[in-house]
Amino acid sequence: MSRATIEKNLFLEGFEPLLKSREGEPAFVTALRHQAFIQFVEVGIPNRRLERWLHTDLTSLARTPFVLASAPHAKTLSTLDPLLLAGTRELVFIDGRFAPEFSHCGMLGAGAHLGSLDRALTDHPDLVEAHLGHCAGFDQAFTALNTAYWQDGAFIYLETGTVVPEPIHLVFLTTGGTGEPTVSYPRTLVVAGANSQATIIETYASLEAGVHFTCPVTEIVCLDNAVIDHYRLERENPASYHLATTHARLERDAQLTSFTFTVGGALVRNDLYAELAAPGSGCTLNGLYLADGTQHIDNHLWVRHIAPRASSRQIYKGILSGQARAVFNGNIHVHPEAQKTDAKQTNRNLLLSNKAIVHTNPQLEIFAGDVKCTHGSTVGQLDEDALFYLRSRGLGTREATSLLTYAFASDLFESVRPDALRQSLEKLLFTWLSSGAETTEANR
Amino acid sequence: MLEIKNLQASVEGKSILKGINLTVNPGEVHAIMGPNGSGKSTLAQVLAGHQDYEVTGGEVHFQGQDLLDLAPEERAREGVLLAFQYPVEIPGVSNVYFLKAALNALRKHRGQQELDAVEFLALVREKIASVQMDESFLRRSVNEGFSGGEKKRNEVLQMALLEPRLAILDETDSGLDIDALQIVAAGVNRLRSPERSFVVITHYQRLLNYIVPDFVHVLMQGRIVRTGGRELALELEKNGYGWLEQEVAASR
Repeated sequence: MSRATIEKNLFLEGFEPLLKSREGEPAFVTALRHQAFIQFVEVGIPNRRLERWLHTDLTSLARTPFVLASAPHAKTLSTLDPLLLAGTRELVFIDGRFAPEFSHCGMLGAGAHLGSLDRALTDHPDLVEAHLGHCAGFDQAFTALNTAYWQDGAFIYLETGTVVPEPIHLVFLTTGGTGEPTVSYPRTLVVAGANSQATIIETYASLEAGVHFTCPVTEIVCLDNAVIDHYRLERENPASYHLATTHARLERDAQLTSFTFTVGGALVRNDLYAELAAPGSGCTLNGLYLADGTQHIDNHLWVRHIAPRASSRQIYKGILSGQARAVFNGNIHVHPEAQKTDAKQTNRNLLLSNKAIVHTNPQLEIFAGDVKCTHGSTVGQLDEDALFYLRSRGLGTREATSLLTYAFASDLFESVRPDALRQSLEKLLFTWLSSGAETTEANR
Repeated sequence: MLEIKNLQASVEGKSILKGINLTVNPGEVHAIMGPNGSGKSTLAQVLAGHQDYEVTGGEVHFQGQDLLDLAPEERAREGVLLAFQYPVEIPGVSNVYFLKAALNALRKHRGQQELDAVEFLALVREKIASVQMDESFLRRSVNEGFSGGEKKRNEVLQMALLEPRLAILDETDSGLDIDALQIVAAGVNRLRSPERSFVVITHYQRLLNYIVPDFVHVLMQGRIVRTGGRELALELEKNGYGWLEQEVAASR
C-alpha cells in the first residue's frame, strides 16, 4: 500500500462502527454519509500539489491516528465559565456531542427553534433533509469527512419574520486529553426564514492540552431579507488541528455579517463560502488572526456573486510573531449574470518578527462587465516613527509595541455587535499581546 | 541642568553635528536659530534619542546623568520632552489613552500613584482648556487628521501635562498663523519656572517676540557660531544669515 493509502485509511476505519451506532436514523442521512464517504475515499487528505492547499501542509495531520472522540460528559465544567458570554443563550457540545445539561435550548420566543441537530432529525426531518449537505456539498475532503462522520451539532431554525434579540452562543468543547488523539465533526445547520434575524456565535475551545482534530461544518441558509450575524471564535489548545468549513447561501436581499477570530490551534484552516444567490444580497466577512510560536493559520474565503446587484465586503487582518505562518486567500468569483456587483477585499498583515511569514493572495475571477471589484493586501511592520514618538513620551518598548499592535487590529471590533463578545475579543487580544511581547522582542 | 560637550552626530554616515557645546542652567530659555540644514533638528532628535541619528563623539549630561546612555523612554521619564516638528499620527490610538499612558509612565517612574480614568480626565480637561483645544480632540486618534496648528497645540498640551524639566521645542512655530503661535507661546510661558528650562529651536525670530529667550545661539554647518542675547535674533531678522556666514568663512 502506498503511503497515501495508509494515511487515508486512518480516516476510514471508523466508518462502519459509526454507521452501526447511528442505526435508526432517517435513510436520507445514511445515504448522505455513504455518498460523502465514497467521495472522501476518492479524494483523500489533500496534499500541497493542490492549489488550494499550496501553503498548508497536512502531512502531520494525515499521519496522526485519530479516534472518534467519545468522552463521557462531565457533570461539572469549571472550565466552561470563562468561555460563556453574558446575555447570550448557549448550547454546549462536547467532542461533537450535545451536552444538554449545560445548554439552554428549546424555543427562543415564538418562531425560533434552537436545539441539537441530531434531535432535529426527529423534530424537523423535512427541513433537515431539504438543507443538510445542499449548501456545503461534500466535494472537498473535509466537508466529505464531516458529512460522513458527524454525530451532532446545532440546529437553528427561524420561522418567517422571527427576530431573536438574544445572541445564540454555540460552545464546541473538545476534551483533548493526553491519551489517544481524538477527532470530532460538529455539524451545524442554520435555516433563517424570510425576514428573520439572529446573531450566532460559535466558540471552539479545548478542555485539556492534548492533540485533537476538530473538523466542523456549518451551513447557513438565509432566505429572502434575512439578517444573520455570525461570529467564530477559535481558541483551541496549541496542539490542536482545526479545519473548518462554513457555507452560507443568501437569497434575495439577505445579509450576512461574519467575523472569524482565530487565536488558538497548531494548524487552523477556515474555508468560508458565501454564495450571493439572489439580487440585493450582501455579506461582510471580517476576520482577525493572531499567531505566534509555530502556529499556522490559513483563511480561505470564497465569495460567489451569482446574481446581480449583490455586494461583498471583506477585511481580514493578521498579527504574527515568532515563526508563525499565515495564509490568506480571498477568492471572489463574479458570474456572467452578476452585473452591478460591488465587491471589496482587504487583507492587512502585521509582522512582529522577521521569522514570521504570510502568504496573501487575492483571486478575482470576473466574468461580468459592469462590476466594481477592488482588492488590496499589505504585509508590514510597526511604524518606527510612531514607536519612537510613544517612547519619547515615556512608554517602554513593550508597552508602545502593544499599543500600536492593538491599534492595528482594534477597528475590526467595531463591527462586533454583542457587547460581551466584543469585550471578550478585546481581552483576548490584550492577553495575547501581553504574553507574546517577550517572544516579540527576542525576535525583532 | 544640561551640558553638551563637543557633540558630534551623523545620519546615514553623513556628518551633521560637528562639535556642539551648550550649557543650559535651570530656569533658562535658550533659542537656537540657524539656516535650513544647519543641524537644528538633528540636535533635537539626538537629545531625544532617535535611533536613526548616530552619535559619533562628545558628551551630553542631564542633571548629572549621561543622557546618551539612556533609552528614549528613560530620557522622557527623567524629564526631557521633545515637542516634535512633525508630530506623528497614530491611527487607532485615542489621544486621551495616549496622554494617560504617558503621564502614568512618568508618575510610576517618580514613585507617584498612577491616575485612574476619572482623575486623569479632570486633569486633562483643565490642561486642554489652557491650549484652547476642544475636548473632542481627546477622543480622536493621536494627531490623525489634525491640522498643523492642532498638532502643535497637542504637543504643548503634552508639555503641560507631563511637566518636563527640560523642554525642547523643535520648530514648534513653523507653519502657524499668528493666533496659533500666540496660543502655543502662552502655553510655554505658563510653564516657565525657575526649575524648568527650555531649548527653543526656530527658524524665525517672530516666535521670540512671544517666548523671550535668555540666550540666542546661531547654528551653522553643525556648529554654534555665535551666542548672544535677544538682540542677536533681531539682527538676524533684519540682516539674514548671510553676513554671519561670511564672517564664519573669513575666520577659518
